[in-house]
Amino acid sequence: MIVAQSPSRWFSTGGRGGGVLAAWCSAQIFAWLWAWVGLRTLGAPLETRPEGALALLGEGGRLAMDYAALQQNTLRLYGEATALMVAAWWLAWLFLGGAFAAMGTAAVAPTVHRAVVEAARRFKSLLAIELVTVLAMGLSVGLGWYGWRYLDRVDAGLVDAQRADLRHGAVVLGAAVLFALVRCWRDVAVAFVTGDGRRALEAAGDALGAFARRPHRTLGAGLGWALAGWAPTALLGLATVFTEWRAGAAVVLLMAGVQQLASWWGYHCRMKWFVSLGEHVLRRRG
Amino acid sequence: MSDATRNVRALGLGLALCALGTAAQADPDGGAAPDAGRDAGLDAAVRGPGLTADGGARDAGSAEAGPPAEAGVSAEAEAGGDEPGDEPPRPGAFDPTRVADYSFDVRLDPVAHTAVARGVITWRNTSRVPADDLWFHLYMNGFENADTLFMQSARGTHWYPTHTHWGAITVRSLRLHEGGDELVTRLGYEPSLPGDRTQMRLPLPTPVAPGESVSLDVSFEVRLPELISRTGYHDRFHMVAQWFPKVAVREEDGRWARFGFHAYSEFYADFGRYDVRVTVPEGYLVGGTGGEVEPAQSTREGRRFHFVQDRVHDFAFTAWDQFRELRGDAGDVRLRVLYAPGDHAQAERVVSVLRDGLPRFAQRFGAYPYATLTVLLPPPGAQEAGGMEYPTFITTDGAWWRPRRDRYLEYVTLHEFGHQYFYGLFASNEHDHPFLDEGFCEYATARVLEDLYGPGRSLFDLPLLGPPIDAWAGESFESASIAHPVPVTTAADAFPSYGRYGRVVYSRTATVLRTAELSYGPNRFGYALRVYADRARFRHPTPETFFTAMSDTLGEESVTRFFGPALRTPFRVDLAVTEAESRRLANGRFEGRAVLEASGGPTLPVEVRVRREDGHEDRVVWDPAVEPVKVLTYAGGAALASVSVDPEGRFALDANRLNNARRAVGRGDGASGDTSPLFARFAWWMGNLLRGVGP
Repeated sequence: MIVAQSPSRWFSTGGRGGGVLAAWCSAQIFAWLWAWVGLRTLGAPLETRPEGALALLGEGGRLAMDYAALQQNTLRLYGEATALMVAAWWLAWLFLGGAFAAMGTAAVAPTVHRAVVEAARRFKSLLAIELVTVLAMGLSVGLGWYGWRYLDRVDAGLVDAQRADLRHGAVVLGAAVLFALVRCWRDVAVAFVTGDGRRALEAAGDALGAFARRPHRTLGAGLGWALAGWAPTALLGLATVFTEWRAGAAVVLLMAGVQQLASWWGYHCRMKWFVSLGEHVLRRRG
Repeated sequence: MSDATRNVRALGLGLALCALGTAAQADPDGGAAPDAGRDAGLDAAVRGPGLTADGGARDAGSAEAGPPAEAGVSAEAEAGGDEPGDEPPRPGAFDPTRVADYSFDVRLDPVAHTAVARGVITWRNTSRVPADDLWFHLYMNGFENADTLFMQSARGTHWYPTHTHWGAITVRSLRLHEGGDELVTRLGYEPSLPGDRTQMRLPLPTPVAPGESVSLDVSFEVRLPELISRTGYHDRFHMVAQWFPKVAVREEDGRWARFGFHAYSEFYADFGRYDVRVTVPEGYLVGGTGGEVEPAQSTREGRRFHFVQDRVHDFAFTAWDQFRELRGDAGDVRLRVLYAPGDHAQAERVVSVLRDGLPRFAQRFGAYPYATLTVLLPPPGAQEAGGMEYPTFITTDGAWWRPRRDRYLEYVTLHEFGHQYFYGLFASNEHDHPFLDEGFCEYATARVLEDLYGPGRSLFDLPLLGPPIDAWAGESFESASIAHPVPVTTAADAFPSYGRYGRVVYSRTATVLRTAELSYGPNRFGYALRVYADRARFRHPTPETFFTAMSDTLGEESVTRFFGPALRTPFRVDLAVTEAESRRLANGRFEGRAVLEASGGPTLPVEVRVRREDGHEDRVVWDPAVEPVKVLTYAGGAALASVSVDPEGRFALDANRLNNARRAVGRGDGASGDTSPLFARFAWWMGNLLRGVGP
C-alpha cells in the first residue's frame, strides 16, 4: 500500500511522467504501426492515382464509393482486425490499469515497474471491479436500448415529431450519463484499491460513499479532467478535417505531430485525475 | 413513385459508409458488348504538342454546336405548350385527358379505418375496337392477405408487413348509370393469379363501341391496412391511396393494359376528371389531389371537403386531426403543406425548395399545368407514407434534426414533384416500362438539385461529416455496382430482386441520361429531352416515344449507338488506364507510353488527358468502340506525369472511375501518389480508440 501524499505539480514527474510516457508511447507506436499496416493493405488503389489519397474527395464522392466497393472485403477485414486489437488493448489494461491509479494516488509516485507490481498484487480486487464495471456499462447500454424501444411503443400516439425525437434523445443521453457515472465510479474504486489497499467490495462501497460526500471532488473532477483531456483532441480533429485533406504532406505531418501532443496531454490529464483522487478523496477518507 | 425513400436511405448521412457494404463485384457474365456505331459526333480532340495517338484519335465537332442556346427551350418545345389537344391525340379525335371520369362521395371512419364510397365512373372507349368488358384495378386488395401477388413479391423488401392489419376493397354494387341491373354478380378476377383479386373484370351487357362511353353507378367499401406501401393508417392519421376501382387502360388496339399489383410495380391509368367529396369527423383536416372547389362544410355525417381536378389519372387523400398547414406559392401554383406539430421548419424548407425547383422543372420539361400542389410531411410513426406521388399531391420525408446542408428532404421533395411530369403528366405504363417514370424522374431530380445547389455537393455538404456528396455520384455508383445487369427496359415484375430493380430502373436510367447529357452537351440533350417531354405529355409514352425523340433531335446514331444498347441490353462497361510509364532518354528528353483499355459496352468517345511533369496538359479523344485497346505514345521535354481517361467524368456509366487515372512510373520521383492523409487518419483514429479503452 502506498499511502504517503505529496503536493501536486502541474507537470507529472518521476514515475508519473514515466507512466504517462509509457502509456502514450505504447498506444501511439501501436497505432502508427497499425496505420502502416492499413496503408499497405488498403492504400494500393490510391497510390496509382495522380492525386493519391485526395482522390477520395473527388467527383462528388464517386471515387470514394468506388474505392469502398473495390476494397470492401479488405476494409471489412481491417475493421474486424482493428476491433480485435482494440479489445486486446482493453484486456491488457484490465490487468495493467491499476498501475496508472497506483502511480497517481501515491504521495511519492513509484516507478512504473513498482506500480505494475502493486497492481498485480491487487489483481483480484481490480479484476472484480473491472467485471462489475463491464456489467454496469452493459446495463446502462441495455437500459438505453430498452428505453428507446419503450418510447417507440408509448410514443406511438405522439403527434409532435420533435418531442418524440427529443424524448428518444433524452433516453440516449441518460444512458450515456449512466455509462459515464460507471466509468467514474470505476476510477474511484480502483484508486481506493491501489491507493488505500481496500478490497474490491470495500472499495466499491467507498467509491459510492465518496460520490455522496464529495461529489465535486469525484464526479465533478472526473468530468473536468475528462473534458480537459479530450477537448484538444476533438478540436484538433476538427482542424484536421479542414486541413489535412486539402493540404500537402507537410501540413499533414504537422497536424499529426500536434495531435501527438494532444494525445500525450490526454494521458497526462488522466494521471492528474488520479492524483486529484489521491489528494482530495483518499486523504480525507483516512 | 415512391422510392425516393429507398434511394435516399442509401444516399443520406452515411452514403460513403453505406458504400462499404455494397458489392461492386466484377461481373463476368454481365457485359454484352453492343454493336455500336462508329461516330457519335462528340467532343473535339485537342491534340497537344508532343503527343501522338497511334490509335488514330480523330477530330470532331463540338458537342455544344447545334443545340439551342437555352437548355430545354425551343420553338418546338414552346409550341408543344402545356395544353393537351394541340395536335390530334389519336385517330378518332378523342381527348386523351377525358377518358375516365370519377365522381365519388366517400366517408372516412378513422376509428374503424374504413371508407365507404359511392359514385359514378364514366369511361370512354378510345381504342379502335368495341369493348365487351371492363377491367378494373383493385390495388387495395394487394394488401388483403399474405397470399396476394403484392405480398408474395414483397417478401424480402421493407414493405413486407410485420402486422396483420390487412386492407381490402369490396365492391358492393355496380350498375349502369341511371337504372340498370345489378352487375356485381358478373364480376370476376384474373384467373391466372389465384389468391390475387387486384384485377377485376366486368362483362358489359352491351359492348361499348369506339368513341362511345359507358357510365356506372358504383358503391364500395374500403378497409384500410396499417400503413404499408404508402397506404393505410397509423393511429388517427390516414393516407388513403389506391382506394377505388380504377379502370385499366385500353390501348389503341383494344388490348387491356392490366397486371396484378406487384410489389415492384406501380400504376397505369387514363386521364380524366375527378370530383371527390370526402367526409371526415369534425376536427379532421383533409388534403389530396386537386384543389378544394368550395369551403369545407359541416354536415350531419361530419365535415365534408370537396375536391375537383381535371386531367389527372388518380386521386389520393390524407386525413388527420392534428395536421398543421402551411401555404405558399410557386409562381401561379398554390402550395399547401400538411405537417405534424413540430415540423414547421421542414414545411418551410419544402415550400422553399418547391418555389425554387418548380421553375427549373418547367424550364426543362414544360409548365406544371395544375393550379395546386399539396405536400404531406408524414407524422411520427407514419414515415411509411413518405416519398410517394399522386397527381398534384406528393408525400415527402425528412426529420426535423437534419441540417439544411443534408438535403434529404429537398431530394425527396423534388423527386416526388418530378413525378408530376413522368408519372403524372406523361403517365407511362409503370408496370411495363418503369424506367420511363422512376429513372427519368431520378435524372430530373439530380439535374434540378445540381441546378439549385451546384455541382459536386448537391446532396450532402457537411464538411465535418465527410466529403461532399453529389446526387450524380450516388446514381452512377449504384449503376456501376450492378453485378449482374438486366436491361433497363425490363418490365417491373420481371426483375429478379427489388435491389436489382432499384439500381437498374432508378440509377442506371439516370446514369444513361446523365452520360448523354455530358456527352452530347447539356444544351443539345436538354433540347432533346424537352422534345420528348412535349410529345409525351398526356400521351402515355413508350420507349419508342423516347427513342424517336432522341433520333429526331440527336440523330439516329444516338439511338443505334448509345441509347438503344444502353437501355435495351445488359452491360457492364469499364474504361481504364492500365499502364503509364515515362523514361528519360540520353539526350535529356523524355518518352513514355500509356495503355487505355475498355471492356464491355456501350461506349462513347471520351477525352484523354495527358499531363506532363511541368504542368502542361494535352488532350486527345479516344473512341473505345473503335479501339477497345489503345496505346498512347509520348515524347517531350518533360516527363510524362499522368494519364487520365475521361477526367471530367462525362461517361458516367463507367463501372470503376478509380482506374481512370494513373501516375506514370519511372519518373524518378517515386511512383506512388500521396497517401499520407489516409495514413494520418488511420493513426489518429487508432490512437484515440486505444486511448479510450486504455488506462
